[in-house]
Amino acid sequence: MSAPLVRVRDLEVRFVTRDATVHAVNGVSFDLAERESLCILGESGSGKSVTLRALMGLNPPRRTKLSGTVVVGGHDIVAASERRMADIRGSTVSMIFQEPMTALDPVFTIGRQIAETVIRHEGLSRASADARALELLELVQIPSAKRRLDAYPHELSGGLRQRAMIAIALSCRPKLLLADEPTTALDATVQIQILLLLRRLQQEMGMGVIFVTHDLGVAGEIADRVAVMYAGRFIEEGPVRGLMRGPLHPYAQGLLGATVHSGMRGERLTTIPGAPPNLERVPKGCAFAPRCAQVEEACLPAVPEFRSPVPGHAARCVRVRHAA
Amino acid sequence: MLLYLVRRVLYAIPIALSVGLVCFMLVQIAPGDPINAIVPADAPQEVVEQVRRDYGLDKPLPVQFGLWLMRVVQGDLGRSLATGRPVTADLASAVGNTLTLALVAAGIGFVMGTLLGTVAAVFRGSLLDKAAVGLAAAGVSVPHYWLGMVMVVLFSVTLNWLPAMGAGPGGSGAWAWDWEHAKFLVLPAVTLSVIPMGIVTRTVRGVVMELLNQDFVTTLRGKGLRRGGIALHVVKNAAPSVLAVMGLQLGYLMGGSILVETVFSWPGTGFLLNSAIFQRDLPVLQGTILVLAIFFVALNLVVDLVQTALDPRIRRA
Amino acid sequence: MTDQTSLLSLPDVGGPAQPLLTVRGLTKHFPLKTGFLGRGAGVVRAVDELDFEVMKGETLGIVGESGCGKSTTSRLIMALMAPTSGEVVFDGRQVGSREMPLKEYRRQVQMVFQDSYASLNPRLTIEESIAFAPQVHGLSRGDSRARARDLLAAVGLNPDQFARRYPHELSGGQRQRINIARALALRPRLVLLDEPVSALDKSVEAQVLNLLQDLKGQFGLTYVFISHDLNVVQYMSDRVLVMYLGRVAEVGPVEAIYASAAHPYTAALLASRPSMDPDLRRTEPPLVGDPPNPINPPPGCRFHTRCGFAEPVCSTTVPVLHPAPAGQQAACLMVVPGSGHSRAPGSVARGIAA
Repeated sequence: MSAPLVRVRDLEVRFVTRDATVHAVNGVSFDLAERESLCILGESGSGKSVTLRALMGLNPPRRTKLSGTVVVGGHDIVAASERRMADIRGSTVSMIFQEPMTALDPVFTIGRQIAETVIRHEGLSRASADARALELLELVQIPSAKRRLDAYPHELSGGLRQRAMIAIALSCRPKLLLADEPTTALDATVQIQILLLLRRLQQEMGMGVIFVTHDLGVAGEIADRVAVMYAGRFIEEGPVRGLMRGPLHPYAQGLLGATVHSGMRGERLTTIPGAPPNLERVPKGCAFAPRCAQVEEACLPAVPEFRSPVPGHAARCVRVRHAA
Repeated sequence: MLLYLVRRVLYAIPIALSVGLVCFMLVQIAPGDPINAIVPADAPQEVVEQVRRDYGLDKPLPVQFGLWLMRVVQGDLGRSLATGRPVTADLASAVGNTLTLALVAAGIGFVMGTLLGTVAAVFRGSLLDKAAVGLAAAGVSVPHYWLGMVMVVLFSVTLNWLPAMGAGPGGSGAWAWDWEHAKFLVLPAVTLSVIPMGIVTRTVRGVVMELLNQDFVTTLRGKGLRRGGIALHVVKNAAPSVLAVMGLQLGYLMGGSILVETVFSWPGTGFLLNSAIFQRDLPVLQGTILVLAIFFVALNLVVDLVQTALDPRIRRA
Repeated sequence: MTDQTSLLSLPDVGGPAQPLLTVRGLTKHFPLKTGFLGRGAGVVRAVDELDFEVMKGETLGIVGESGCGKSTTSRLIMALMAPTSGEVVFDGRQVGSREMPLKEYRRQVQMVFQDSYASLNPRLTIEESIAFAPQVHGLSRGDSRARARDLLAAVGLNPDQFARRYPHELSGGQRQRINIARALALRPRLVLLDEPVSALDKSVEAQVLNLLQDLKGQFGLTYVFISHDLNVVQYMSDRVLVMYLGRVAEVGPVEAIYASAAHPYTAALLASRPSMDPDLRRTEPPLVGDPPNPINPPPGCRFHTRCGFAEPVCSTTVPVLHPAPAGQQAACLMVVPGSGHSRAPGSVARGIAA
């Protein structure tokens, strides 16, 4: 089998300031095959966005300390110089963000912001870059695309802005698209349009996609595989069907139980007591143990290893039995 | 855009008129009858009345204002009480000299301020940043005239490198861009540049720092742009607010250099104002203030227009 | 001398059959200033001719997308802005009239906002924040503090542990509990919850929703629950009001709306919910485009520009709320007999098709 598109081993990310060190990511390992879509689910502070940004070296320079292995499309991200990274970003791997209003430059036109990416990586002339920008706006189904090239971000609706953002990200046909809560800021009827667009583009362009979200519905619509993150670690990973129907880890079970969906009227919602740990210190054992109803002695001395009852589905919980 | 331009210019007219009114009223508010400033104290009553009629001072105030305005528009600001020369002539050379001084000082201050501010923002929290912030604070807080005198003592008296006062050979009306004249400009210009340098440093630092924290800068990095590419975006985003501050500073430099011009005997508007105040030379005072105020209004207009041209988010209807 | 008993509980006036809140013809237009001398270049019709009731003890959910007028509606109900026209009636008495002066009304109606941090004074301790309003309304300092501590316990925060803390020392979920406690401090009868859980993580959201359900029973409250999250509204509400571009699209019992929506917009909104089950993935988006801008909205039915069932009549006739089969009311010509829409009950076209 060929090498995976993304290979991450023991990724650790720390943010060091004068006052404190925050251990945002504490040993994440995974592979992503070409054309595969992975969804990283987690709540705020779980380290999901930091993991995503580490894949293209986008965490704030200077105060970010990175260790482990990150290989994307054959490029070693951890070792690459800033100059080398600039060549990889936007061409091999690109990213879309939660809030397209702030993620786009307010004083440059949409067309210009797409064209400059193409000019930067493919050295096209201004005219052919503009032509490519038009094609891209049509690809992401922006109506009257030609007119929209000269529009500024504030002149577009939220849905069109996110489409423009996607056009920028796809402008150099990346092999890997990273998406950080790309539909969270959008209206319901627009959210589903963007999700379906991303799913279609992923299939047409044959990209690998990593989504970060807190919304189980987004994962259900778009993911092949889902990873659940807690306190800077993957605590469960599996195919979307298996994980949504039979979560193994008590935290994943709690998260699914706490998510309101139709048909829950009149029932009392399951909740997870307490709050996630402060990541200024890495918890020694299972980070979820203090909130877990099924905690036992074995949870505390060390972080539980992944155990896998069915092939491809695994959780870091001592109560999960390995397949025989 | 053209419509907006016309509208902004139209808006500026009432402001300019009110400025004119204030300057006109200056003479009326000043204690005593303005006629006493024109005729000798022992002139006979009929001469006083004659002069009053000649100057139109017997007419009601609004009519007087109208007449005065007509003259001003035609470039007639009256005659100096102290010298008897037309105010317009004296003012023209003074405005020229002040403009020279202000533009050079602004040039030094803006370039230095932009450099220091950018360096401070990019290397936020470093020693460079702290040094730039310290320099900016010093620039804003050190008194002008004191700094001017220290410079004179240091560079003119002790080192004897540069002249201490005046505008060079030929006096106030004979400015030329050669070293014989320019060496007289160095000390006052540097002294005057210190405040705008400080303020521009602070502004640029604040604006650039805020911009570098914006999400769109992460997007730009994510697109693979290098430092130069990102800088282009930052400059275009920062330009409107930085230029606004620069415009205001230039306005202050035009009007606010009384102390520095006096310390260095620079024959500009500040110097002129200073002597007019001491000699109770109302026509000169009136004319100078009017011209400076109109400058300020015009400058604000230009800043507004430039800002609108640069920032697509400002409505141009 | 202030009547202290009135700060303990507020009496029911009109009996259980009288709606606690009645909104009639509520309209808010914001004129746009542009033009040379500020001539009106248009009007934002944020809320247009809104009619609805909130019964005693129920939860009315209000859903809709950006620009639908949810926030304006909540501000109008709170009397934080004056309506262009229309009236709000509280328990049979018109708000702002002599029988229900604003000061009295604002005791009876309280609001919880989405941003838990911005709505707390950062310089006051939790206890002071909660005790502030009762004290202003004449309760003694000691009584106000005692009430604040009771409320802290009621929202699940240990008073000994939290009373002296400041807002920045708390998590988002804890701050939202404080906001709820503060809203209850004057013993209101109606609580307006404007996206109260939208900024919270899922596990915290569930805690706060459970808490809101408990408090409703404990304090005999009536809720207006505004949210963009259709699942949460379904979970919380007895009746649901769907808004589109400043108008009511559909209103009725939650079961009727969610099981058989009568308005095509409601149906599209419900079908836009992402599915957690990968076997039920959507293939086509129910609607294309963004919700239009409420500046100069389309004539006739405001939804006709995006509606799959739109016919010429929809762009000329403004639909009014009309009873629909499942027990709700919908503002759609397709439920109005003789409206001229081919799918209206009893229409010729329909008769042939059947």
